[in-house]
Amino acid sequence: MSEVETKLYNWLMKLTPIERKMPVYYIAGKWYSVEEAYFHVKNRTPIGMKIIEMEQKGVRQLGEDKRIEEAAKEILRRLPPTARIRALQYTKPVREEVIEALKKKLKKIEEKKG
Amino acid sequence: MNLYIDLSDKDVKVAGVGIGDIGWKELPVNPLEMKEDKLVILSHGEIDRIKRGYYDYIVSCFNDIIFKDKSVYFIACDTGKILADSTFKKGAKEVLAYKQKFLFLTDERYSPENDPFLKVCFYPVRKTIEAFLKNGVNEAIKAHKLATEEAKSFIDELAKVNESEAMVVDSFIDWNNDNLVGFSKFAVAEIPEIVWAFIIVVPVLLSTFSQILEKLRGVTK
Repeated sequence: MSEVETKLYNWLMKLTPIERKMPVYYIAGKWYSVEEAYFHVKNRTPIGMKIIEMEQKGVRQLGEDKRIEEAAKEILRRLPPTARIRALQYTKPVREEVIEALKKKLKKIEEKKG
Repeated sequence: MNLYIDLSDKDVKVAGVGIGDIGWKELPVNPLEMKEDKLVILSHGEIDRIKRGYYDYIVSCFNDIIFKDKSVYFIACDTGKILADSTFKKGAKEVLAYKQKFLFLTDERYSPENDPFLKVCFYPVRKTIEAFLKNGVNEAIKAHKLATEEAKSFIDELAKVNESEAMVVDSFIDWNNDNLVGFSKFAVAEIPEIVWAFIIVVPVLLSTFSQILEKLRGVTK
């Protein structure tokens, strides 16, 4: 088991089932969750090799803040058309706060990486 | 009846379904009609006011004096910023509110009564209302935190319906929990660590001692 594989496994074990599925890695125009990343690394797929390379070099994808924001937007893009986000206020749209809430969650997930 | 809901807007009505089985009354035109010592108000909020319909209703530094000697839980956006502080300074015993937008998610495939996403979003709020009415703000904050953790087990069930919606609900309940603020005139009664140690260690020692006694009895027979 490589160092990156162990790191991903330990990270995976700290996450709840739904946290494991949240988009974290952005590679070649596609999002990958920790669960998917671990699968690719374990099976040494081209995506897995890319993740190993990134983790070893400590490559920052897109710039960390930008990536987390894009990951939050990706979750919103995946929502079905029947989903309705609501808030207990009249006046302003809440998109900014929704993105903030998702970013906060994604940051908590990344903190568990150690 | 301690729960008052503003029925003038769809979002609040839907939210009301999430906690409405607790028993509630419509938010009255005249706030003085709310006579209870402990109040829970579900409505739209802004940083310095809670609304009834589109009109200003209870505004900080204006008529929030009506909560003097009462305990109040505002389930509304942004009220934890100025309104809660002002209400407390005007003599309210305890105030609980959210300092940011209170976010929740519904799915139009379901009626509000059967919407699993709505139910999970409001699970911490329901538990908080119960704790607030029974034990006050300090216990209510603990209940909110605990219920947020408990709600995580329901998130896995939601993920079976739709993973992205479950992700959003997961982040919203954390967000709402992080934004809960409380003001109380009653100090938090923390149990010292030594007492906790005593509570945990004594039963263990007693059980070990009784096991030793049992063995000794067996030997003497």
